[in-house]
Amino acid sequence: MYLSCQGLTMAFGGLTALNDVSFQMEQGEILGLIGPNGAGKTTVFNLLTGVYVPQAGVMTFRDRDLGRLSPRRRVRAGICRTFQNLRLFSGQSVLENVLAGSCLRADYGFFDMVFGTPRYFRRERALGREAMALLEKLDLTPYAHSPAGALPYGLQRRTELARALATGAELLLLDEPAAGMNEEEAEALGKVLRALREEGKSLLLIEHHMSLVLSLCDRVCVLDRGRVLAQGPPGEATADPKVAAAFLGGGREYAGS
Amino acid sequence: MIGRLEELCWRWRWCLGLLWLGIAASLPMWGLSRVQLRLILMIALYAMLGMGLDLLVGDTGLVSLGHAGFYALGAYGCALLQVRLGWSFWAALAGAGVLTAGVGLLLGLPSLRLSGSYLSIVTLGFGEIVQMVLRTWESLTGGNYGLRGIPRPTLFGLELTLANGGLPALALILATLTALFCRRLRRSAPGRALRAIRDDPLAAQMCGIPVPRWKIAAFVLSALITGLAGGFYSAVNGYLEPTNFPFNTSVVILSVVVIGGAGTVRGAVFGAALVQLLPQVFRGLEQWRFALYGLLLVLVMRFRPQGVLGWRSRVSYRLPGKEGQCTYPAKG
Repeated sequence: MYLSCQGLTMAFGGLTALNDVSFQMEQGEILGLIGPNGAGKTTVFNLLTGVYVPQAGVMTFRDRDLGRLSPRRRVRAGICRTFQNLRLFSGQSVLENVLAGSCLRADYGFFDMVFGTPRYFRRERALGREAMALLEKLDLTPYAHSPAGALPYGLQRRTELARALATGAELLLLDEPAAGMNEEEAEALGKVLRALREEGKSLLLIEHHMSLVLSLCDRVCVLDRGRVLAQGPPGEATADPKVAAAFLGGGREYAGS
Repeated sequence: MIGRLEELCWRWRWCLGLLWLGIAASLPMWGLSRVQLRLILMIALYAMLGMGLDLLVGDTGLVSLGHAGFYALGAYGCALLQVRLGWSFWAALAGAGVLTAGVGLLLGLPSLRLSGSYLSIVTLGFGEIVQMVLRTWESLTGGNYGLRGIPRPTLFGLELTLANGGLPALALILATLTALFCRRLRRSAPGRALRAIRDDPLAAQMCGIPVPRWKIAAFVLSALITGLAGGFYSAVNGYLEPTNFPFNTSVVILSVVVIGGAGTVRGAVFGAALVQLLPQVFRGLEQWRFALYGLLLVLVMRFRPQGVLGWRSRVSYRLPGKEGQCTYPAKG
């Protein structure tokens, strides 16, 4: 199994953010994680990337136990995330942001740097080329040298995506990549994400933009109040009456009181 | 206009480098007075101290108020290795660098837990502790009586002194090497990692940057540079006492960084020149000088919080190698 979460449980004081959440993901899949506000979607990301340690549950990625890896090693293993509220290095240029993402792949030693060995220049040049290619791919080239914080929202989102890609990750956790975008921009983003999948990336996606979710995701996993409500192809899962109730309010009979 | 100037400096960097080398090497032949030579030396020394602290303040975003401690450790380390163990100046200088880097490693540990002013207070305490130890460990450091008879460095049998211009030339060379190192670091992955940590530690961690390791590395490198500057200072003075390294010195080093412009080499050089030249220019004001410094600092903070020369580079971020030359016009 590519990515698997079994029985994730996480409580903050008296609030159980996640309660026995399990889901799985195939390589090359686009899995949507949807649910109302406060359902625990971002908590799943925080557990997967190691911001929090779950109270119970096992996470594996390519059959490696993620619980044993530090946040940094999880990135090295190939998992990288973006943030719901953008966390760019906003004073730095777009290019510098992307280069910050590829820092972990600069495999030269301290002495290579100090004395400027051929290895140092070869690696730095390669990283620079890759960064420019990445910007080209995401249509960010004209903004390469603009301070990231000064860009419009949609471009900042794309910059964050570029930074995550620069780490060399193959599983991207995207926290509301289309938030604040209009229909047109969301459609363009969908195109970019589909292209990433063609390259063999897998995407785990938190999104409220339902048209994007329906058109993009292979499967969705619906969370509500820390529990998995439904899983399956987007059409089926969202047709579930329990899901409709969770999103639209409606009595909450399903919770079984 | 600044962008144009930066572009020109970049294009002619090799010529400028050679010119600078020529100036530094020919310094003894210029017939400058001792006062002038000492001023050049002190500017170079404080530029070096500023660049060392800048790795912490400007790049990593950690403010240290205890760099006089590293400065003192480097100075005493270098002097004691020569006086007590009979090492040559160059070996002692390297030894002092290793010593201060080691202490920097220890002082870096609290930075993993503390941030902002809390960390600054720990470093402030460190500076005071070093001074206290130098005062009370009389059998080793000579305590308040000071440490005398520190030999001058020699190069190929020639003694380097202030009068023959050897020491100022050495100061310029050390400062230049430090500047080249800082520049290289800033343009490499480690420098980018430090700036990422400065701007957003969580995002940096989520990009796979080992945050604790780089914070400590920043402390070690900063302490190393400061310690080397201290070792050199001991050779200049020939005599050390604990009062050479008061809290005031830490503040002056921080002023070099803040006034000049954090995160840049040019800022450290400008700041160093300012803190060394101002006391000379305003000597007539006597104790009113300090009021003037205070006013100056307030004015800089009010009107140029990024430092006098602390502008964001107007030319595009250069990738190393040939591609670096082809730049896209900066927007926004």
